[in-house]
Amino acid sequence: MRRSRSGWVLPAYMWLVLIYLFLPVFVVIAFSFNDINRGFNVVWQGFTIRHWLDPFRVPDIVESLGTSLVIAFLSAAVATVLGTLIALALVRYRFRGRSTTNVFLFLPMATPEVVLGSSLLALFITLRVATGFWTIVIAHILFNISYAVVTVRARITGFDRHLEEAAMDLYSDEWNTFRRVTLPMILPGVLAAFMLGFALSFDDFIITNFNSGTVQTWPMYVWGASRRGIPPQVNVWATAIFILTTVAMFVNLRIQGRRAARSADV
Amino acid sequence: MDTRTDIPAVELDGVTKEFADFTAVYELNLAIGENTFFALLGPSGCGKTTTLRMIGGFEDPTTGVIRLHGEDVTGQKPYQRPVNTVFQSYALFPHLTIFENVAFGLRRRGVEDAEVKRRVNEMLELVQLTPFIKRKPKQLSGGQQQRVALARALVNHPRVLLLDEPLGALDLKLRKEMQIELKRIQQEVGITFIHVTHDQEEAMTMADVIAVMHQGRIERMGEPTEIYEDPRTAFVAGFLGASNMMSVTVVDRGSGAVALNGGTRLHIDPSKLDGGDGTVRVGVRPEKLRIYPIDEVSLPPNVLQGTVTDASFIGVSTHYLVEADHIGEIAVVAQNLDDHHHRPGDPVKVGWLPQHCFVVA
Repeated sequence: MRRSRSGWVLPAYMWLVLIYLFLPVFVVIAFSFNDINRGFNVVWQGFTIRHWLDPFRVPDIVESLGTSLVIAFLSAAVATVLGTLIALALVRYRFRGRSTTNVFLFLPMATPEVVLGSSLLALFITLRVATGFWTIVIAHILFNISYAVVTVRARITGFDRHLEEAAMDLYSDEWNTFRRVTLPMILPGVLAAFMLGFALSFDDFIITNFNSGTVQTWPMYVWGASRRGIPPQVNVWATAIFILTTVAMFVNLRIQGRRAARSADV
Repeated sequence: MDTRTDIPAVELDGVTKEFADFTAVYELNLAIGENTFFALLGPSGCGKTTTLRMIGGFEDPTTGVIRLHGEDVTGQKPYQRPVNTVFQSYALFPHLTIFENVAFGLRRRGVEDAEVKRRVNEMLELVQLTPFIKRKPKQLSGGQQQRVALARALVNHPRVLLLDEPLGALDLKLRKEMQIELKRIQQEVGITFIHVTHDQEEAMTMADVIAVMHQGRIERMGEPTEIYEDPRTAFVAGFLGASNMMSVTVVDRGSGAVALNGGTRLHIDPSKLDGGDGTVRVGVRPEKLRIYPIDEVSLPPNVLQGTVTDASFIGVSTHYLVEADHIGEIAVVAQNLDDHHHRPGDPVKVGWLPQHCFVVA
């Protein structure tokens, strides 16, 4: 009896939360089909797939998107390599300055982005470095390293050190041990660090805005466009990215589920 | 076994290992002969695992030299040494199949594919794991994982195999089986096994030679029966099983006559009294004692009188505790040969033969 009376509360609550989370996303998707030509894309004018058929119509969108993807890839890759090495050193070795390193690693995560971005700009100006593509990359590597270290370190902690000794015992030198045992074991953490870094970089506006010079990333383009009306092509690209990510996530879940099922099948 | 004329398989020469805050191994000298099943036995923290890790190359000695078959390997990396290790946690590679785990060492040494396949299959047959070849380590039971770890080491034909408490994680029944299995494999492959354990029964079951370690030093080394019957130190006597210890005064060294506090005469093997003067500590194992009714007349040379305080029947034997004059409680293990059972409160005599006494430093 109790069950039937309160049975609707939890599902209703769940749906409210889901709607709260996804309503903005659905608005973005819906307005990629809005039949407008210029001005502010906020009032529904009718359905069209015109913008989906012509996503390259605004050259700035495509160019800034490309810039953002390249920066995201570069900064995530560099930060992942450096972060993995730092994480290994922090977990494995006791060295001078280890605890100091730990504190410094948290700083970029704890510092407000406005402060981080403006400080970096001050630094670049002092060093007489012209801001642009590479200063954005440097800035993104900076905050990505912290996240990479934290992500990879979680994977390395709880890693049986005897596995590496066993590899050494079985005629693997240090490099082979890393390649054949350590890296495969921490790979999920390393990949997660890369994806997290990619997303953070792709998304970043504040720090980028300080250090971009004349280069325009995708978030900066959208910010600029929002003042004179965002072209519906932005919605098209945003929707495409959303769908791509969702599909990738489902594929990943399926693969993991199948792998788990295979492991359980003894 | 004579290790003085042959070159020993493993030789430690004045090896000391200091860590930041303590000395794990102190001035260790040790020679282990070819084809020996050698056990390093001791409580946790005695330095046995550190010793093993130094032989394997996972720790460098602070001072001293380690030789394998006469060759100085001190400072060599683990992958440069002709030894392989079975780790306590097995340390199987979780991302590789059983086949690839066992093949790992051969592949790193560039053995060609067909040969790898042949040797891995042969080895998995030896440890009876052929049906599990495509599985991952997590899908195997503890005992099976243990055998994979053994196969992964043995497939490389090491000249010395190091085993770090390899049976510690198994339940009692499986451990007994694996003890026999390990001994069989050692005899079959005919290489030196160095086995680290804290289980004295395990060491005595398997080993040809046992070294008992205590606080970074080897206290006693020899064949199992030899060190059990004549442990020489109180620590070894206690670690290798129960024993009744008593302080006695030497009365006549020539005949081995000694006296307890109250004046009771006892006799011990005179050869064991060398050097011992005045007061010495002697011990006798519970199973060497026999318990007699108080009116028994046919008794061995050493006799004590006392009262039974506890009797526990455990099937194959009965364990008695006897409160004896001038000594205190002594333990007696009696075989259940007749139906004469003594009850708590019964006055009894306890007797044993002089050669069953040992003297400890």
